[in-house]
Amino acid sequence: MYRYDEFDHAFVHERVAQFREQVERRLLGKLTEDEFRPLRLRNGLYLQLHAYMLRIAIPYGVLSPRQLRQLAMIGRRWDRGYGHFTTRQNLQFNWVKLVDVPDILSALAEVEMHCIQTSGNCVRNVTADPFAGAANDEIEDPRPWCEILRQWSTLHPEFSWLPRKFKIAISGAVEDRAAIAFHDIGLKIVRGPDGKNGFRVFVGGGMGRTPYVGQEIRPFLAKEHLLSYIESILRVYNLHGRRDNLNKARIKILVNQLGIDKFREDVEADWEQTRKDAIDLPEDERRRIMSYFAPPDLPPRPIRDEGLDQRRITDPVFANWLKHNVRPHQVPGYVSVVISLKEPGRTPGDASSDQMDFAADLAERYSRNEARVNYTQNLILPHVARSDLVSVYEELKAEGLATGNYDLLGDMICCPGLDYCNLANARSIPIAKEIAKRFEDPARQELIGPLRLNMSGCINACGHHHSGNIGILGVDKKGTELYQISLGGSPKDDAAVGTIIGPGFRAEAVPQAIDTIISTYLANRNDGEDFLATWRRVGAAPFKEALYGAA
Amino acid sequence: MALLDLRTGTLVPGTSDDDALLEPTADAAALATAAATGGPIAIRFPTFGDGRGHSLAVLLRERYGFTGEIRAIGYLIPDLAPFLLRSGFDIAEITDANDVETWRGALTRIKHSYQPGFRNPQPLRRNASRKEAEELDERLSETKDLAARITALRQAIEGRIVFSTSLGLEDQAILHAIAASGADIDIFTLDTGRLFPEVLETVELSELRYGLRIRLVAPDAHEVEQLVARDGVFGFRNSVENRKTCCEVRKVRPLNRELEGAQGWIAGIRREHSDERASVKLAAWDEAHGLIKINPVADWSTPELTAYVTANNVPVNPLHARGFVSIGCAPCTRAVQPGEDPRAGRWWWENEGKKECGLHLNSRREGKAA
Repeated sequence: MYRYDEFDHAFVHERVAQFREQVERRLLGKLTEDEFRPLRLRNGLYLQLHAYMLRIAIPYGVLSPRQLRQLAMIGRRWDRGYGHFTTRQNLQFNWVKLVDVPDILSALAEVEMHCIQTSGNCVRNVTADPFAGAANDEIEDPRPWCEILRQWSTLHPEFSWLPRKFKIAISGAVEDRAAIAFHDIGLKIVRGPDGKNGFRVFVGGGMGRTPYVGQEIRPFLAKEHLLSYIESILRVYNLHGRRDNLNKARIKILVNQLGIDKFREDVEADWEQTRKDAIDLPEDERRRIMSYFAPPDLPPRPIRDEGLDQRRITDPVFANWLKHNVRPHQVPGYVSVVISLKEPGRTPGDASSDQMDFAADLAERYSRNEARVNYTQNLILPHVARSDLVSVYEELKAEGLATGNYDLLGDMICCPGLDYCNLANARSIPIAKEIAKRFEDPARQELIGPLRLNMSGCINACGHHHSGNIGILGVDKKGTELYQISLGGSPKDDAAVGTIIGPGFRAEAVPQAIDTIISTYLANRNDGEDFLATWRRVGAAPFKEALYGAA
Repeated sequence: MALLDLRTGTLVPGTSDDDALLEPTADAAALATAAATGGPIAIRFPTFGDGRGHSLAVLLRERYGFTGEIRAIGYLIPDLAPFLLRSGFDIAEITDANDVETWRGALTRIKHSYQPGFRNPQPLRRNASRKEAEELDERLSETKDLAARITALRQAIEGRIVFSTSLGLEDQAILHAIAASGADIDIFTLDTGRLFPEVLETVELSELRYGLRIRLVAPDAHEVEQLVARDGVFGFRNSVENRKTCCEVRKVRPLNRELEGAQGWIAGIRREHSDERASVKLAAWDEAHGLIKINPVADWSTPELTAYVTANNVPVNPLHARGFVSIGCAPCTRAVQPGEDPRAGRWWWENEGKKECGLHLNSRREGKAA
């Protein structure tokens, strides 16, 4: 993984010193709260319902054991012994004190981490396929490009005061596991006409109150021009994006107002005039960054493991975990293991400091000193030998982290909701827990098959409800929490925004409504169909009827 | 209202009233018209969070080749300063002149930037780093033309560059080249309180000749008082220890204050000066001060230096004609005999080889301990 050099180290320390000084000026009254807010947000510090929340960037979801342990330490020392992994490969601490923040930032800098641009109207943490460098369907590892974008976007002189936040995601594999269609810019590494890899570029995707699936702005961009092309997109957005209305300021609004063709024309016209050689990264620097992401030395191992095969036959729970939480690897004899943070009854995405330490140990002993976090709020051990799987499972099971529900109904994405967030209109975590309880039986989840259930506690859609096969949105209707259900969304290559199925439900009625939807799907599905396929074939009518009675 | 020069972090006279004004909504035609005026151009910021002005400045610099002055006006906060400077602004109009220190702090707190900028046309993450210094060293060695060297270093380094002059022969040659190149360099001399009157006369003469200001930087009055109360008026003669403390208070500390936040530091060290200085580079990364230190005449011989000064009729300190070579404070400098080591006239009662006041030692810490 990437390691800071002298330059990066010096930079993050300067940044910490800068923030200390800004806090001092705020305390002395030399900065108004309106002036201080964007400065603290650019260091990931939010004022939440009960306390300050600090959002830490986990660039493209990669963590070393040392970093995980430091996060665990920060959780113990300055928070309440746990943290919350978010849908953007970040970690949030929900109970920090303002006076402690500079010290926390120093502690992060020690392990090459920071909170820079995890909030504010600037380019945010760049996210990626969590299986990057491991997945067997990979065309090219996206992480070096994420790192290049991380460096390029950090305190960019021109693009640090954008109309609104800006999110970029990169996928380098056949299957999109980074939800690139729901980002301001989505990049997919593809094989070009001459056999060289490049980027397929999407723009204007997003969730929030006006969800859009990103549109293709360029079918193929030569890799070396990534920075200059993105600069042109950002320049058009920076100059022409709306600044008069917070809710219409994202690039998706501009793209859809102008139409993708006109927007493309403007970007290409700007790019035409750009001095690309001045912006694009020189070959030697690109190589230098690439070299940090060289694959770990994984000597091929046997593909079959007798102990594992035995266990699979005799232990159906293990077999279930194996089926869902273990993913194929590029190197024979290895796999990637998903550590589910979705055990029924617990808060999706939360991890205690002890669990972080434990995951760090596992990464050290079984996964070449690497752990990952994905946007569906789980941890991943990317490089595990197949012959170690039984041991890994045993250890996970002992810590309550061996729930075999990855990408199943129980693997819900869920925002913190009204329990923590001052933007939220409704609770989300308690509802998610209720649903998890109702569908606790692994056999039933297995029967239902792959299903993405996402829930947000407000219109801002941090819980990605728009892209859920089933999406739940909490709203506040005249003082009552009401939950709107949408169906048919997808975060993958067939990206789609879900359709609201009808009037909302009260909190206590939500689990039954989900149950009804699931039963309708099971009653209607053909052999081999998953939820999305059935929905796309039969449409909304049977679901409406089941939920609300005949029209 | 006051105008703050973002390149130096200092106030400059004037107003933005007569500037060509660009609103954040300016289109290509408006940019072209403004660029044609030759400047100054003022770009208005309705609020500090409205980043359109940064793009406009970049366009003026890159697309319209505008090299005149660009000023930011409107609702600005000090924390915007580095973004303004790096996107191509020269001046910020600030509402309260008392905020200069805060602006200066904001300009200098972060010394590393990942992207190229108008004044630092280097690719990603290359400025003010060791590598940058090495590259500059290489570039400077390609020419012996002093003015060309000054131009090259000004182009290579983004942000404030200072020149600490002792008004000696080397420094006067450099001053001449700075004036000839028109480069924007912050020039000062350390007014230790014990300078020769001839040095001050040379300051005056040089200012008249070149139309540049040489700032006199004084030591902390309280520290000098304490030092003299402890050691006496000529206490530095009693021990090397005392002498070094005196240098520390009167020269090293004021220098460090001036270097704070600068990205480049020009000095007149030559390899011929002493064995200590024999391997000095044209440009090198100075870790202690976090900047690039440039000695643009490091590789010049004495005859080369003399020839340059004569050819250009550069004002020189009259003491040189009386046998003074390396000139520091009056009580600690004497003339040298022909053939003597050039630095033999400094602290001549001391016997050690390392005759350094601490200004040009390789780290600030060593300087303080000395």
